[in-house]
Amino acid sequence: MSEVLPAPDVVTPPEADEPAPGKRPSRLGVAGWLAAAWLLVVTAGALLAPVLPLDDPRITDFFVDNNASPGTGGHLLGTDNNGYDILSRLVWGGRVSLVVAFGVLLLGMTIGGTIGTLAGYFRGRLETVLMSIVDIFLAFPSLILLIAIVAFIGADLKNVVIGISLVSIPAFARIARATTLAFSQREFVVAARAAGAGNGRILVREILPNVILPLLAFGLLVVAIAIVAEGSLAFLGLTSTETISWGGMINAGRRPLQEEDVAHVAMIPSIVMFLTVLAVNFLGDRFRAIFDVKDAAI
Amino acid sequence: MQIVRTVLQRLAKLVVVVLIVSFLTFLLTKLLPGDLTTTLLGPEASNPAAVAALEAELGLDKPLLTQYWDYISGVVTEGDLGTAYASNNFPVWELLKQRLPATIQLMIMAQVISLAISVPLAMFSAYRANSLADRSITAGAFGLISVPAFAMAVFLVYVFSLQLDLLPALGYKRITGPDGLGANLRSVALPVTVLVAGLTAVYTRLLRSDLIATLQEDFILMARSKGLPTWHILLRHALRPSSFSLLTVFGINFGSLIGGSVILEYFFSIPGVGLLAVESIGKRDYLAVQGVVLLIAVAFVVVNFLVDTLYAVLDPRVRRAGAR
Repeated sequence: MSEVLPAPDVVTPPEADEPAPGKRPSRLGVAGWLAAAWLLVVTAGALLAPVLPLDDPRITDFFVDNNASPGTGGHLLGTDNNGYDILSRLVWGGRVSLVVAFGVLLLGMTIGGTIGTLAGYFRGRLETVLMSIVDIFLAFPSLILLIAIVAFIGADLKNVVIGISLVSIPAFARIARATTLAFSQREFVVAARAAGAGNGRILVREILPNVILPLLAFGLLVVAIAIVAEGSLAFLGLTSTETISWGGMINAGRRPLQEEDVAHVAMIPSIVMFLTVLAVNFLGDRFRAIFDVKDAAI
Repeated sequence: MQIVRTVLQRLAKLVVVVLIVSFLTFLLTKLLPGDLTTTLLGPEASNPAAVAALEAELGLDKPLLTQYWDYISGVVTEGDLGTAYASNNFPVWELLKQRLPATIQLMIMAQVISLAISVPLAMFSAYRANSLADRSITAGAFGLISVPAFAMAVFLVYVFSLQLDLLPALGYKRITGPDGLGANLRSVALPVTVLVAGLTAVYTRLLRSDLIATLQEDFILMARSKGLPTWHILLRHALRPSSFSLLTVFGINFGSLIGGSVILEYFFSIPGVGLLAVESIGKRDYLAVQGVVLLIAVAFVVVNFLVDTLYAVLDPRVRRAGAR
C-alpha cells in the first residue's frame, strides 16, 4: 500500500483458483458489473461536471457553518473546512483521477511498452542496456522519486501525470519485455520472417497486437496505483492547491478529523477513493484472468 | 571458492547500483529549479554577489563532477553525508539518526506483525483452498490491497479515536519519553495497523498461491501417505519451498517502507525519515535529500542481497545452480 508501484520482478505462480485452460471466465459477474457501473458514474460525473446542477466547488457557502454535516443547507454531503460543497468537489475531483488514469496509461504504457518490446525483440546489448536502466530506476524509492520529480518540474496536473508516468515506465517495460520474449520465438513470427518481413513490420504487425492486450490488462492495475499516487501527492499537499483532487480533500479533512472530531470531511472522499480503486483493481483482475496474464510474466 | 566469487561479483554489482543511484540523485537535486541559496538567503537572494559568495562557501561553484566526487569520497572515506544547510546546519547523519528510530520502529513492527498474521492465515487458506473461509480470506485481502494508506488511516482514526476514544489520533511518543513504552506503543498503534493491513494482504495472497502450488507436489503426497499430521506437513514440508515470493517481497518492503511510510508519518505527525525527505525536497536542502535516498538505496540493495543469499539457504537447488 505504501508502494507507489508494484515490485514487478516478483515471480508468482499461477493462482490455484484459476479455471482450467479452455474454461476461461468470460463474464464479469455481478461484482464486476457493479464495479463497472461505479466507474461509469464517476467518469460520467467527471465529464459532465460543468453542466451538472452543482454548487461551485470553489465558492464558500457563508450561510452554513464550515464542516457542516451532510444534508445541511442543501449540501447533500455537507461542506468542508472551507465551506465548500463536498459533493461538488467530489465530482470535480473525479476529473483529476480520470486525467491521471488516462494520461499515465497513455504515456507510461507507450514509452514503457516500446522500451520493453524493443528490449525483448532485439535482445543482446540493447536489452542489457535498456533493462539495466529500468532496474536502476526500480532501486529508487518510487514515492520519493515522484515527489522529487514533481518538485523539479512544478506541481500542476500535467506535471503530476508526467511524473507518475515516468515512475510507471519500468513496470510497463518489464511486462512488455516478458511478453515479447514469449512471442518472438513463436511460429508466426518465424513464418513472417521467412516470408521476408523486416524487423519493423514484424514488430508492428506480429508482436504489437499480442503485447498490447496483456499490457492493457496490466495497465488497469497501474491505473489504480496511479490514482492512489496522485492522491498521495495531493494528500501530502505537494500538488497545486488550484487543483481539486480527492487526495487534497482528504488532506483538508485531516485537521477536522484529528483535532475537531468532525469525520465526514475526510471520510467521504476516502470512501469514494477506496471504491474507485477497488473497482479498477477488480476489473483489472477480471481482465487479467480473461486475457490470462500471469503475474509471473511481469 | 566458486561461492566466494559469486558473492563478490554480486557485491560489486550492488556497489555499482548504489553509486549510480547516488549519482542520479545528485543530478536530480541539481536540476531543481530554485536552489538552496534562495532558501538560505531569503530576500538577499536577489543580490548576485551574496549568492556567489554563498555558492563559493558551499562549494556549489565547482564543476558538477567535482562536487559529486567531493560528496561521494566524503561519504565513503569518513561516512560524512554533509551538512543540511537549510536545517540549522545539522550534519545530515545527525538528522537521519534523529528520524530513523520512528521509521524503523514502524517498519519492523509492521513487518513482524504482518508476517505473524499472514503465515498462519495463508497456510489455513491454502490447505482449505476454495472453501468458504479461504474465499473470504482471499476476498478480504483483495479489498485491503485496494484501500489507499491515507484512506485507511482516516477510517481507523474515525473508529479508534473518534468513536471509541481508545488511541491518540496523531503524534509520536518516544520510548525514552516520560510515559515510556506504553505511550509509545499507543502512539504507533494506528499507523502500524495501517501498514499491517496492507502488508498482510499482500503476504497472505503471495504465500497462499505458492503454498497451493507446493501442496500439489509429489513429496507432499508422500508425506501424507506416511501419515504425518497436517500441521507438520504444512509447517515442515510445504512452507519452506513456498516462501520464495514472500521472502522477495518481504525484502523489497524493507527498502520501500523507509520512504513509503511518508504518508503515515505525515498523517500521524510522526518525525520519520520519509517526512524528512519531503521537508528537505521542499527546502531544496539537497544534501539531506541525497542522504535519505542514499540510505534507502543502500537498505534496498543490502536487503535484496541478503534475500538472494537466503534463497540458497532455503533451497538446495539454488545452491547447486550457483555452484555450476
